[in-house]
Amino acid sequence: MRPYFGAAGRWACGEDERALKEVNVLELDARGLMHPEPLERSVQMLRMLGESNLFHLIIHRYPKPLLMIAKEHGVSFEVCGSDEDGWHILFAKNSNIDLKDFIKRYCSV
Amino acid sequence: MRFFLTIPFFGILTALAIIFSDSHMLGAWDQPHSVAVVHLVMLGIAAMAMVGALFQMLPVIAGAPISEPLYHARWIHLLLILGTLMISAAFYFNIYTLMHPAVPLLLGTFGFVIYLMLTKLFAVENKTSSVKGMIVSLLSLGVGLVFALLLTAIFMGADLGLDPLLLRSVHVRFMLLGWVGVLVMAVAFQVIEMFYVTPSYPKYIRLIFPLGALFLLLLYTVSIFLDSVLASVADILLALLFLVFAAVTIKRLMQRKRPVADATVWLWRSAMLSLAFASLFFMLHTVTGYGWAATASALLYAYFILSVIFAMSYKIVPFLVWFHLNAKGVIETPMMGDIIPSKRAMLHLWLHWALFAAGVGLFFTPYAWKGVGAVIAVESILYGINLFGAMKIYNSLKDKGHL
Repeated sequence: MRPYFGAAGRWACGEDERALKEVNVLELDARGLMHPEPLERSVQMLRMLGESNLFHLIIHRYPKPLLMIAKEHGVSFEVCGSDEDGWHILFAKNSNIDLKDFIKRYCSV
Repeated sequence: MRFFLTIPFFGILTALAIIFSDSHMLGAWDQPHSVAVVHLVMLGIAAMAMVGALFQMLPVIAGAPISEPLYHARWIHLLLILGTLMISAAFYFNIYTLMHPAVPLLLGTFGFVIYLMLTKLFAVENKTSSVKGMIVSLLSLGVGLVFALLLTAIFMGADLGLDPLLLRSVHVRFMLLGWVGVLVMAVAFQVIEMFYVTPSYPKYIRLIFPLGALFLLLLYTVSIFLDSVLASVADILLALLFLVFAAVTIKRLMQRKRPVADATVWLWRSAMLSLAFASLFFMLHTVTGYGWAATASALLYAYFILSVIFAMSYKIVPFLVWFHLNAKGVIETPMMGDIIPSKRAMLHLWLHWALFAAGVGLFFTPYAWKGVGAVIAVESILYGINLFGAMKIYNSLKDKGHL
């Protein structure tokens, strides 16, 4: 896990004054892993999500089934990338975390 | 899942139909028992797998969800079972009055499947090569059904002024190559890369082959009724198209990132090798007129279809069980590899190869059909055990989710 420290308020949106001062990022690079490992390991990571962490997934194919599972579990996500370069996906359970801002770090969105 | 779970039962029926038929008649494709067996395989096994796969793949691969899928799947499944049993029984037991309810039932059900799925697929904005391939496949199914209707009308005594042998040749090509063959291509474009982490298919194959197959089928249809040599040219080009597809797929499988081969890799390899040789024998038959080459081509093509169905099932079924349990929030969801144990999948692979060996025996004695039937029966039973085992896991856990 890589802790991310940001300036207060910079990456937390919303009117919640008790914005997180640090967000831990769970990382998984699933490129090159053979089915079903990418999905299985991603779901394990989704289960580890709490109020103070994100899950950053890099994967070679757009993982529609995983995003459907995330939606069922009330986990929000933001996606960028392509099949050629790989997909970056950020997942969060905490809706106060501005994923659109975070995703810019990985793709020029 | 209900479509896949029905396949073992039709496999057993196919086996029984083969075992209790006159072995000397089975190789003659216009004999009623042969026609019955062909329809048991094509409707009871292949169609069940194709329709079941489309129901699952449209939302995930094509981004085209079907509204009320469970409701539609239930009655489509039931009517397909009834129609298949009736039409096969009509041919097998010479009870041709069964054609009266069977044909409208099957035409109506398939017609609805085509309408339901085509409307969703045409509405997809960025159509991938897989989506386009599925559209071609469903259109081909539609054309094949039209020719089935014409054939049935003639069979029941109508005088349409058309040669039934020509109608049959068009019907067979659209069903086997246009519907099943192109659908396998469309699915392979996605799943070979997805499941086995291979490079994607070359652009020329993805862009041209499905539409090329449709064009050649239409060319064949027009040419055969005009008694033109272009019909043979279309046949050879179709065979070449599928030969190239098979060769490229085999190459892709050799380029897997992880070299360990499970049962499904070997099933895909078996499928593609059979497709390649089926294509070669078909070209030989077209050029020389050798009947045995046509028979070899047909049997190898049937083996290709079965191999793909099994290869896909052993990936799709564990995935579906795993996916739906996770979507329900079941913490104890097993890993996909534990839903159908790899040892049982490998056992099925060996049985499937035994089926090929039994089929080779057909070139020495027609009594080898009994062996073919026996192996199909055992293979179907094992396949059923594997699928129902997966369903048992799902049923035992589905109510334990927190969602």
